[in-house]
Amino acid sequence: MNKLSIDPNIAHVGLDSGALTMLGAVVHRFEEPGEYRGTVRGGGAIERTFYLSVDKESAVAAADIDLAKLAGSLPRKAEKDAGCCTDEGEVRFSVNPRGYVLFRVSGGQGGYSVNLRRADPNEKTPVFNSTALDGGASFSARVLRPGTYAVTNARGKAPRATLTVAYPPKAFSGYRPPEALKVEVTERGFAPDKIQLMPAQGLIFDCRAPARIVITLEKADDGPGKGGKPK
Amino acid sequence: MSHLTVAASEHAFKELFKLVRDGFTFAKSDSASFGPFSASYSVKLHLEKGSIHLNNDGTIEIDALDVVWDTLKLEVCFDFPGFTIPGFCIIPDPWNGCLVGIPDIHIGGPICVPLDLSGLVSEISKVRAHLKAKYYVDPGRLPGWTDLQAEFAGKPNKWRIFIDPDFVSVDPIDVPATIGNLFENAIEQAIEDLLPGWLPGFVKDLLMALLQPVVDIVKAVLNVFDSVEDFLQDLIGEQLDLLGQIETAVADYFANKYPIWEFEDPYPILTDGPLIPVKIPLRNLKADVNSKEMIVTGDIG
Repeated sequence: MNKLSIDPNIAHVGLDSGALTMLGAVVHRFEEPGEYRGTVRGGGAIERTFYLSVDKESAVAAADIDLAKLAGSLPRKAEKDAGCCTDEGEVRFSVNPRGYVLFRVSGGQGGYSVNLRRADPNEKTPVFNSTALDGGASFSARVLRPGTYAVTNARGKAPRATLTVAYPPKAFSGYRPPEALKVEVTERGFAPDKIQLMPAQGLIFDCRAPARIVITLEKADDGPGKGGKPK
Repeated sequence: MSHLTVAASEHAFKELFKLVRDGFTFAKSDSASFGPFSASYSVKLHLEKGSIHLNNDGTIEIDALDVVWDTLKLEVCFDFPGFTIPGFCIIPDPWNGCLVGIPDIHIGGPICVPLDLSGLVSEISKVRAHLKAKYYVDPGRLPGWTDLQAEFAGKPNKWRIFIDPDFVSVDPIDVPATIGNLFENAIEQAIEDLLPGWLPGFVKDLLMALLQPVVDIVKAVLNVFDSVEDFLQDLIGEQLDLLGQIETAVADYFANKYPIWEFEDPYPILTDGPLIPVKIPLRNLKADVNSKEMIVTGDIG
């Protein structure tokens, strides 16, 4: 029998809001109407540019921008073709200024950051950079690897937080993760600073100060049974 | 009045029936699709036991004929709905929905579950039949041959007496509860086997934990309303129509394939002399039973 085709990046350990993978996403609200030009970067290199129209007339309350599709890095052709960006032409998105833009990575190795500035040539000021979240931007994370993590803000000097992810229950238990947990990020640090997550439970960082959230595994939890098998 | 009458006692008839019964085998492999799932099977079976009664109304009743499934292998395949790592909501909307959320991650694919039920025994509860004489022309006989040439070539014409069923009643296969458990375990294993070997243990354990109990998966995917055993029984008997196929095969075998007795035509008499055998043509052969014996009558000439 054929094995399932699973993106190996689902097993990626550790997250960085400035280098998004399929386990992390950023949400931002663009309140100022206008035309924005965005760049998707993988590492330091620009992978793709796109345009975002923030328009009061737009009916889009939530624009979903898949950076992996934009960058053309999805491992399977069907996934590449399913999205917006199969050719090299100009890619445009639209959102209402009262809505939100979700930047996510649907598959592949990831490691993307996104940067948007006004398309107006007289305006050079960057208005959004996912490596420096602020002003109510959110970073959401799926931390799948059970264990203990350090959560740090690479843009500040605030104390780090501790994150613990529990091991999954036994097979065929119909387990459902609880609601996502919210953490506030300010110049003083994280609140709460001791974060307990159930397996696959979402984690949302609400950034009130410049932030680049980095989640680093410190101690893995391989489960109570031998070989990491839960009992 | 017939020129010829041959009789066989009930005891002799029963012995002849055993030869007919033991000659029966049925083997088949096939597959079929039933919307949410498909199934393939490979079966081979033979008959055993059975009690036979001759009646004065000319009917023959065979009761409790065992169907022994030497091979009964099934494979049920379905699109496993998959593992889902649930998404979550980041920005709720004012109407208790979700404005911006992280989508689910779905991982799914087809799985096939093999099941070996070989050795099961079911029953043909009743066969009601009457005797029927049929004339048989050997297909290997050449058109220009005389009866004597056909006999020398081993291809004489024959009168054959068959047990011609009026109906065959095959009981449903009783699938024991242990088989239901085996099937569920096989599904669990098949699901586990879907996961690639490189996947870290914690991801496997998470994906497996997110699954509903396997019995719920089976009920949802295979439209099982009661027990797995009932599903398998219905699958074998009704959906794959194996019981119907056995009914047809048994009826066809008794009625057309294996005669309970046969007479060469022309019938050789005085075969031990130095000359060629004397043969007499048989006409209008008929076969009947009463409660004591089988009676075959016919005309000569």
